Amino acid sequence: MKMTQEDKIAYHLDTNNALDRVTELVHTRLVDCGWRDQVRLACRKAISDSGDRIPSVDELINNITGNARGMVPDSVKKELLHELEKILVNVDKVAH
Amino acid sequence: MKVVWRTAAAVEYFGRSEAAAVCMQVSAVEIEQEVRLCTSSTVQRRGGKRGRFEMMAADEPQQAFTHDDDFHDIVNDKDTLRRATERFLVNMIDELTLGIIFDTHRKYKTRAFDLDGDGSPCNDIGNDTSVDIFGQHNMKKTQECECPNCDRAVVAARFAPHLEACLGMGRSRSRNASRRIANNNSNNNNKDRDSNMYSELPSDDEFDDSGDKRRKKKHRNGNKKGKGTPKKLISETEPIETTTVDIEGDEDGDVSLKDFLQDNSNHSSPVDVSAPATPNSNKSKKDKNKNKKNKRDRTSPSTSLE
Repeated sequence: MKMTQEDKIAYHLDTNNALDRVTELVHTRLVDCGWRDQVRLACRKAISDSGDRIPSVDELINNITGNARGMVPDSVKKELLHELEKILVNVDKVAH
Repeated sequence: MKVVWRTAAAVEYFGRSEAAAVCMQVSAVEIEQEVRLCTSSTVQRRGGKRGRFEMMAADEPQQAFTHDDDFHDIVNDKDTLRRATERFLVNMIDELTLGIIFDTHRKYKTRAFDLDGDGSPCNDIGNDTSVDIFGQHNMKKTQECECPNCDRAVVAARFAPHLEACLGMGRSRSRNASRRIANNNSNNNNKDRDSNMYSELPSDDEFDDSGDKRRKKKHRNGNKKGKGTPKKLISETEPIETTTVDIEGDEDGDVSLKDFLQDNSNHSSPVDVSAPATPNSNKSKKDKNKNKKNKRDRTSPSTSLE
């Protein structure tokens, strides 16, 4: 089974009990910057625009996922990337 | 070897395509190759059907070592680390987005909310005063009545007690009410108090009817208590017959006691009574205090006569 690099990162974080911490960190940052509320509003708008018929999950995913990535503020993204790199370096130091 | 037999077991249990789905990203071809290897060599298949395909866990020592090396290589190279971290973050954001989409879709599917306006389903209650935060209507509508005496809007459940207090039928607070009423009536009508409907109420100078009621209550209570302790009953009945002092109305009690003492003594003038330095007033005060103390002692349930 070939693992991608991000899968390897996830695997190593999981084995070192850091994945939960990283997930919580990302989640907290995204909530604080209002990204989650924006995505939620986008979902509601997509549903209301469709009229009486509620769109399927697949349709919502196709419509919203792409936009959701761009909704993350650049500053938050940079900060998260920086912190993730720090954590990965520490995990590597501990492992070796 | 463990990887081989577990893969074969997965193929046996799930079938080829399903085993691939369970394995996640493992192609059916690879599984077939594994199975051929498995059958060609004499590999003992352990146990029955094993439901899980645990490739990573099965090959722990060897693959973990390679993963560590790979991870180390990723971390050491800055560009690789940056790109891998970015992809990892994007995956995480996608997962969160999926969670939000599933949650929103489920809410709208299960409850079919009205989407007019920006308000969320939970906030539709909003400014509606007849509905509380749980969306329940206030079934008990509070009916309000207007008091004929003070013209206040009173809740129906509290109307009777309010009326009792307002009209002076109740306890100590009613004395203020009755005084107020009496003053109002004297100002308004300029008639005798006797002709007034409220004249039936006891004045502050006279013995308090509520005190009588209280005495009766005490008497009743005394009877109840007296079944077990007849001595107490006797002692409790004695003050009831003789004393007239009302404990609750402290201000009024002073006045009534003073008047009472004046009437009994007939020696001192009102001026002397009011003066604090006179011996008679001191005596009266002392008597008053004594009476009060005695009364308290007698009426307190914890006292013993022995």
